[in-house]
Amino acid sequence: MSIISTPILGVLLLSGVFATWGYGIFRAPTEFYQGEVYRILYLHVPCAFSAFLSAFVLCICSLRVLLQKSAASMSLWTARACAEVGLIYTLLTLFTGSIWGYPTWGVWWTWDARLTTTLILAFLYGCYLLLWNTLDSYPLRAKVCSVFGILIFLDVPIIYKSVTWWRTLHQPPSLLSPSAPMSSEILYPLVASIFVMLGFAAWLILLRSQNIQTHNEIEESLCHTAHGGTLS
Amino acid sequence: MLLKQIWLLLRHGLRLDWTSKERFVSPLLFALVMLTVFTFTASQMPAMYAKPVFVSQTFLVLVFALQNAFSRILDPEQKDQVAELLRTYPISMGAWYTAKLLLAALHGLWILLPSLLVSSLFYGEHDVGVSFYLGFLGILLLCLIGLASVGTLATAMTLQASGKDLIQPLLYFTLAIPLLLAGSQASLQLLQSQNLEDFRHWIYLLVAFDTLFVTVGVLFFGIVMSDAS
Repeated sequence: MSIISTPILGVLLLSGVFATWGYGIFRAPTEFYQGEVYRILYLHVPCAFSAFLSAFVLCICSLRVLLQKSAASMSLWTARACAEVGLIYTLLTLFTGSIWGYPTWGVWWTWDARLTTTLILAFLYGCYLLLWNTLDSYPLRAKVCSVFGILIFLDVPIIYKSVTWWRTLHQPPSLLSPSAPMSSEILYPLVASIFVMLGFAAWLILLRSQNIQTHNEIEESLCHTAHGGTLS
Repeated sequence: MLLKQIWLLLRHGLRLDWTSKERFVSPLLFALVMLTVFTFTASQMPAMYAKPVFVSQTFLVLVFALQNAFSRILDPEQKDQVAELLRTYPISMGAWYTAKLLLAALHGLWILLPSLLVSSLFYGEHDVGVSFYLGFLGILLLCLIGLASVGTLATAMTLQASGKDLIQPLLYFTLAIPLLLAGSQASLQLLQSQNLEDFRHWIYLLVAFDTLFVTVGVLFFGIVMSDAS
């Protein structure tokens, strides 16, 4: 087991996630326009970035499966792990967005471009996992799921640019906006929370892909034994 | 050369479909039944919603009826090892995909034009004008290209899936959402104002989606079909 996938690193990263939430809830200053409700930002934004990271890694792994046959199996397991982690983070993004949306907009959900495209991302992740389970042969699964993985990533730029392409309720990108700069007391911990969450998401992906690989190896060994071979 | 391959494959597909006329008739009949059910349900709504409902139901009918056509678009390839034979012939995978896409688009057009005609009769009392119909048809055609490309790719992807009857529509509908969103929004804007400036961004988005999906389809159809039999 490599140092990156040790539980210690996971515990450290999770502690970092809790520390940044703690700062956001108890120490960060109250926002002038939104009041206390903005504090969900310390969970919502990192979750959204992690969902995007999952889609990005999924796309890279899918491209590797299609282009580099030698590294296909590990990339495929990582791609599957990305879809699982990405689905969880996308659902968390939608959930925390709704918690923020109700006091701010007066509704839990609205057919806003940013919300709709994020919901599509969740559906796409779900479809990827379903597609994976319905394809039995390994080479076909590798090819088809990889093509679909690339299609999933195409949704990410649309989500990111949706607030500038459409007139939406959702605020435009404000993290590094020069026109309306954030106070450093809010900005720096937010950036830290994003990096810590991205690290945690990467750790989850790595751990889950190793888990899938082990599961697959055991299954292959069992299959081999069942067909008269011996366990190596 | 590529165009000739596309034409030959398309002509072959059309001939095969023509031998079983049910392939043409059943999606159209399905569309007309859906249209009747939708119109009957919507007739209870206040008159102010009639025009938006007309737009929405046309899109829904198109998407659902096309799904009916997609579910069988690669059937000929699955019979008598046709897919394997096609793979061994020196034909471009892009040509194969484009021919299938065009076949799907023709099926869509065959569903769309009568449905639009019947729909306009159903909603005849709410006059929307000829210029709206022309604009609406243009938007629907743009949408149709995207739907045909997405549907053909989704069908190829799920050809060997164990629960393909379930997973194929799921993939197709999910990938079609951006197209539906852009198409319906452009049409609703067209209803309100027939000035292109007001819905230009939706049209750009539709064109962008069409280009994206067709490119992805041409690039990956061969990979997806490489193990199909």
